[in-house]
Amino acid sequence: MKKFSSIFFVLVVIVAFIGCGKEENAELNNSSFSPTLIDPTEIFPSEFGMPNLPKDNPFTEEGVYLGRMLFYDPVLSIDSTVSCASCHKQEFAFGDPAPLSVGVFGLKTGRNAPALFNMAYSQKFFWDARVSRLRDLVFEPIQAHNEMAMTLPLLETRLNEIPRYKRHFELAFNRAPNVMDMSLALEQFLLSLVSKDSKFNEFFPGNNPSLLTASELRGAFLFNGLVDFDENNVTKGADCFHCHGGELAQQNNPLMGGIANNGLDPYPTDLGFGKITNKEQDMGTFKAPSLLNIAVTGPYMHDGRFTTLEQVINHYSDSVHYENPSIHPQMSAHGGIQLNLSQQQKDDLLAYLLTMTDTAFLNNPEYSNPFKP
Amino acid sequence: MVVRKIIPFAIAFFALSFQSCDKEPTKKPVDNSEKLFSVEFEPHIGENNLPPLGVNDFMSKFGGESFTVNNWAMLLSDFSLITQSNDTVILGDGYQWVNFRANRTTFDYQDIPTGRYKGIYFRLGLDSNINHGDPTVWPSDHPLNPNLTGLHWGWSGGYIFHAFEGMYKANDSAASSGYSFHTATMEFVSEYFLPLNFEFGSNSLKAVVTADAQQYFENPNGILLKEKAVSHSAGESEKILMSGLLSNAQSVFALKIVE
Repeated sequence: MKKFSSIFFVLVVIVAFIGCGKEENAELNNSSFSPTLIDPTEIFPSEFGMPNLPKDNPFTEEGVYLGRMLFYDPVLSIDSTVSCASCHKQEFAFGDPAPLSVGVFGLKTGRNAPALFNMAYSQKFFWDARVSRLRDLVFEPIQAHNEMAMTLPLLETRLNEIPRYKRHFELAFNRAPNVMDMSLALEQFLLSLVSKDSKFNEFFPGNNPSLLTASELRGAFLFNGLVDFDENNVTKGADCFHCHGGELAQQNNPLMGGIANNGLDPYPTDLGFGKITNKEQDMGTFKAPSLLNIAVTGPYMHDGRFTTLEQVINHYSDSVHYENPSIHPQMSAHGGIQLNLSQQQKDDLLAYLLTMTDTAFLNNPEYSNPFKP
Repeated sequence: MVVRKIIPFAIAFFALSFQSCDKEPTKKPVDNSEKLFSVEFEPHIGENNLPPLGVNDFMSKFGGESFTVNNWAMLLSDFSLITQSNDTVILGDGYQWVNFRANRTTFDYQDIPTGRYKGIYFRLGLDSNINHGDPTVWPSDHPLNPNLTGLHWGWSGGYIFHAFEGMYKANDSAASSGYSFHTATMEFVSEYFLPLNFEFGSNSLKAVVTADAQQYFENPNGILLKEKAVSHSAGESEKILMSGLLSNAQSVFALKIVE
């Protein structure tokens, strides 16, 4: 009995000391730790305005590079076959030309892989806007059974077994590889993906119309609701800009059209954001993506149902389900009647959308696979 | 016997397990400089609180129509208290972004002078130089940063001062359609003085500004959404509608209580 009591006492002391112990990911004893800070103004163009960046994860050259390595490394998946870049390919603005992406063991994702750029200006992520921070987002595909199917303990062990990660985690965070710092590094890299050099961005906000062809300019007017072509003065152009406006061609505020139901179906089939909030009004609503690089981010919509931009334009022109109970008020505020754009107007809109491709971004070596020579 | 011997250790075990290893949080000393004047904007439908935005509860309005409010946001400038002697005490830098859907409705201000006041003043809208100035200069968390609020046109320049959107039904059996009022341009900057006498002394105070959505449609101008449900403050018919709406807006806001 005395022995039992002694063991119990030792247990008590151990528990108490474990509780007060240092964090598991203790800093390494590296007195020369001094990552190179990056001034955000070097990343984000002044014409976009300063985004609301996480204050506890400043950009460093070492952090961004580590995030880039991790993004391209299939070691993050259970069978080392799938990396983030497998479904988010740079040449497609970090989107996927497949309607549904293929994860480990040939399993398919539930929705189309969204393009990744200018995320520093977004307040919500994923099609259903369920996550507000990129550092939280990265854990979902890594652990999803149909994407990378990894477990975090195994991933941490694996990263610690790879010399290059031991070195780069130490350079970036002065710590041994761990999944929390992994998420911060990936957050830095994802936030650093900035697309700003399309013809559209040079033209915007319309200071130099001569940059556009006549068709592109007509498309710009349609897009921005600056055309009265309805005899009752009800409809003003195609009115794309409420949800895809500004220099980023997106609505940053989820409440101002950043999350919307665009009448794809009579009734929501995929509940989208509504499944997160359980509010009737949010059923079938999804994050409205930026239209920058839209020419290369197909197929379109959350389920990749449209393979061409012509099909997308036809939807908004001729086939919106205004009867959908959660359609965005801005969509149906024009009387709930189809736009019925002429073929010329559709062509003009398409021409304008094609000015939004940023080839410098698609080929930027700073975003490319660091493991390729 | 065994149980009796274990009990003291068990108590010690749980006591040590549950105790926090952090230091006790230091209680801040009472400091008068932390005395706050708070303003809360409270959305109403008539005498009642407005249902949470984002819920499709149709509410009666003028002309037998019914409506929901899905989004309601405002950019205020010259947000201030007016003293009994008609001096102006600017709240913060005078700019504020109210968003009922996001529950951004309560604002705290320090360093408000003690004294007697006779009301709150604000404008829905901005000075021309700010409205047409560079919107990228504002810090990321400032009410005038478009990346935060989404209240900027982008294309044609200038801010959206006021966004009021939702769905409506022309009658009980009608299908629902959207309505959208976006107030913009210098022509539609409007100002509001909400009178109420109060004294700001040694204690914190909170003022409640009610905003009655129903008033937009009926006092003094009856507005039928089935006739026109969209105004972006441009074009003749939209301007007429916006003028009527803003005239009604004088009845929307009231300073109900300061306590």
